[in-house]
Amino acid sequence: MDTVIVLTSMTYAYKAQEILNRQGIKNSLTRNAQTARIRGCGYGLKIDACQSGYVQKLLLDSGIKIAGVTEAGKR
Amino acid sequence: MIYFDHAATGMPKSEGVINAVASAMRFCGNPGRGSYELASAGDRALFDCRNELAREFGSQPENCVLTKNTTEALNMAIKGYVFSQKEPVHALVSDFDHNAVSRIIYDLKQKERIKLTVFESDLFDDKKTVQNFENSITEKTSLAVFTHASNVCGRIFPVKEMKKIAKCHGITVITDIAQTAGLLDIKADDYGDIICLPGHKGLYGPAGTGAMIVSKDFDIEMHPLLHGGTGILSADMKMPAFLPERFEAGSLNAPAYAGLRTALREKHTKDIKLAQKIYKYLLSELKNMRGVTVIGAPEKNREDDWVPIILINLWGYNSEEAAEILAKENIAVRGGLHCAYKAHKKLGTLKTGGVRISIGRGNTMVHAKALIDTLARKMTC
Repeated sequence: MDTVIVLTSMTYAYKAQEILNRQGIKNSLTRNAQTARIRGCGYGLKIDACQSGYVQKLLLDSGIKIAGVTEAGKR
Repeated sequence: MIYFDHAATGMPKSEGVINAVASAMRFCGNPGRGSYELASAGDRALFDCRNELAREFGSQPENCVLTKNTTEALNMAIKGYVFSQKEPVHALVSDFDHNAVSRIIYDLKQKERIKLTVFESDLFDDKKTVQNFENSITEKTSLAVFTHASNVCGRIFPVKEMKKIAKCHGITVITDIAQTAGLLDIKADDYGDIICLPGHKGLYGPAGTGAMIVSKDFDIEMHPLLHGGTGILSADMKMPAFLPERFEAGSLNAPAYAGLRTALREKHTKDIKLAQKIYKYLLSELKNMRGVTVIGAPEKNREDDWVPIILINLWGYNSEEAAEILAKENIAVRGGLHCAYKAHKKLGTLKTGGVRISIGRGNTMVHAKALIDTLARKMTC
């Protein structure tokens, strides 16, 4: 199962993606219904749900603002 | 054409920059408007450009607001700050500002949003400039706008020192680095709470690019200059509270910023020492040439306090006429007042204007000798 970490902006989404890529954490950028529901149009990073806690901490520690977390594919 | 107008825009642009723009025009959609491939490529171009700006100026990508030029960045910064304050702002500005600062300040003064003090810059003594700035500070001063180098005569002003003093007084500092970005090593936080720069001059990016870089420690929520779509938070009628989107309403020019990204990546491969050598040669020749007056230039061994810009006048000619004569000889320089009324007033060239020779990356000693030969020929006719 996947989780979507919703970021406040495209800039933060790309910055977050770079951080995850550097750590070798598989992820993909998404802009879908889940992110829209939280932010009314926004960007998210889809990751393995098992890594959600670790990724959130990593991003927060790196100064990335997280707007919300949602389950991928959930409507 | 021999090009000596690099202070207006850096030429020629590299093949890498041209190709990056052309490629982005083919493959970039509207950034921030979708998750399909074309829009994502547009997103990537913008993010990469911010990343390169952050690397060059010691910042973070989210603090780099993309603008279409320095003027737009200065409008965003100065008006953004002033309109975020409830009371009129006491501001200090220099006497060498470009109209990109002067006209904004004039407008805000007319609207009674600014109370103004102009501090005097000393062309040859940095200590006096710093002292004049410090003496102009009052307990009501909350904003200082600095020009890092004059676009008219090239003098670099002691902004780093003045910024330190300003911070001791809690003054917000906005700095125009239009003539130094790409030429000097500038770390944003050393030069201002906000620095405003062009992408197309010393960085040799495409026309229509620039940036406003905001210090990560600057915590005033500035009023945005533009309002409109950002591709995010669409259900909220207010502009986003965070950077860079707070200031970036509407579709951005992804191809141009893709070009700027490439220009920034190429920068470290380009040598600017030759431009400095040409500058010293031209200065020495022009100072000794009959019929030529050199204005606001350094004495020997002080050249490092100037960027490679020389202001001259030819005896018996208006500056625009002189520039036209050189244009007919295929030499590009700029006459007139260079959008900097105050600087010309200070230099005593308000009536005549001046002929500005600005040296850059593409110039060679052959170009410099051709300019000297042409001027010598014209002035002995």
